[in-house]
Amino acid sequence: MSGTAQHVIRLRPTRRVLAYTPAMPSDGVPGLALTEKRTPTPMLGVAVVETLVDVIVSGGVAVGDLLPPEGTLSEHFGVSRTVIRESVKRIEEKGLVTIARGRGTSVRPRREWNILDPVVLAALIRHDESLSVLDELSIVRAQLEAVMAAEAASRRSDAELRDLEAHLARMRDSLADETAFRAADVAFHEAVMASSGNRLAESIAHILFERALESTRYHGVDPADNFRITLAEHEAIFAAIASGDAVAAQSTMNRHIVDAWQRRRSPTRPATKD
Amino acid sequence: MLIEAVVSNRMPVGSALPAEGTLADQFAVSRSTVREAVKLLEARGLVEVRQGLGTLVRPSEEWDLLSADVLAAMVRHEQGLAVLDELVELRSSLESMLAAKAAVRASPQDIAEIEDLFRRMEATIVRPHDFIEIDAAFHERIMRAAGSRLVRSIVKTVHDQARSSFLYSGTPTVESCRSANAEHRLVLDRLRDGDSAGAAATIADHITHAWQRRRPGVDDA
Repeated sequence: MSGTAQHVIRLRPTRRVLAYTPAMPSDGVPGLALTEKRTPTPMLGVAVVETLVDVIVSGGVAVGDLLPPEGTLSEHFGVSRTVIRESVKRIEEKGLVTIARGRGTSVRPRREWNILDPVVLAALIRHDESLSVLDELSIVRAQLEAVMAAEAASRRSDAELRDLEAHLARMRDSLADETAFRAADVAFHEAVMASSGNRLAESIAHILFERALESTRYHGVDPADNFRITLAEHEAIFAAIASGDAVAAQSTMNRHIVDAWQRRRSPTRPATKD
Repeated sequence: MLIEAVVSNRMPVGSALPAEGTLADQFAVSRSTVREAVKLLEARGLVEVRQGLGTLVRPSEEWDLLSADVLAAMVRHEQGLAVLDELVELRSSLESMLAAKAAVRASPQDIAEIEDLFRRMEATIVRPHDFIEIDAAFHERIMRAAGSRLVRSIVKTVHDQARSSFLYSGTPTVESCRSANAEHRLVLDRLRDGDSAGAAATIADHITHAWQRRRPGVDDA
């Protein structure tokens, strides 16, 4: 796997591409090198925020260090100081930086970052070379979805059960169709979460799941028999929910999410002991 | 107010918010205030602006339930305690997972510092407001011994939000602190023994019981 992390941002409406390599030195802007030098093009505030998040999460600006001053950022991104100020405010809300009048904007310790912020989480996963983020994310997902599976076993309605069975049936029917199988798999999980009635756990698990699904690292590599094993695990989960067995629903769901990830997880990287 | 309208399902999922002008009249504010409010709703995942279709209410699993304003709105709405019950369950579930890890991973240094916090709480039972600060540090110190930065971050976010709600925090008393610390002692013992399952169980029990003791309206089902 190549060493440098490349981040490409599409600019609307000009569709020009701005690329940077955090590791490369630049003219006085550590961590914010532009590989393509040209007259600054106006960027949307959103793109500025995403770049800043990416730079911080990837370590382009270290914890404790200061971001470049407003004027420098304004010039680099080709946007007004107002947009820069707003963007920095946005990343402060994400727990990434502290704005101190007169002293500048410094990067906060990692434990204060809002991991559940979609942009922060996406960046964390993008730079997750050791897979430790995805390992932990799977564990949290497993825990939360297991709790929800137990709740679903206790409170699901007949209609919800039929719905769940439909997704399971689709999985059975599409063992040979990767796309269809995966879609039915995701739908099954979402149906379990929805029938648990636990909006908070669902909200968090959903955020984690959605971000993970966007990452090719999370999809990993399916070993030969994977779909068959996955289907079997889902059958067990369904059986537990159908029979109202909360304890079994909890343990089968927990085992499934952890094991399924382990099966797909890139084998060249040792599983994080953490 | 808009957040409440969405959260309380007065505006169903998929429906479009009324036009800017209508909202401005309805709430007797300027259009720019409405625009700011809608931007906030968008940031909280409650609505989504779709070209040609207007500003639509998103399904509830997309809402940022952990943000202070959305959570506060949910608590104010009748479902108030249900959300807090869920928060407690979430905390309990994730913290017990971390306590299990801490039991095996804790170094002598970790145990010593956790013990120290326990002793300080013992000495502070008579000052409930000081006690609860050390209590939070006690829980955090246990989680730190587990590693798992991502999980800890999530628990911290969940707990910080919960504590910002008065319905959740209540008013600590000498009695409640005494009960809490008795439960803390059980957790500490399991950690010292390296007992994963025991640490997980005792901390889950503690978090659940502590909430049940201070949960408002204990008499309703």
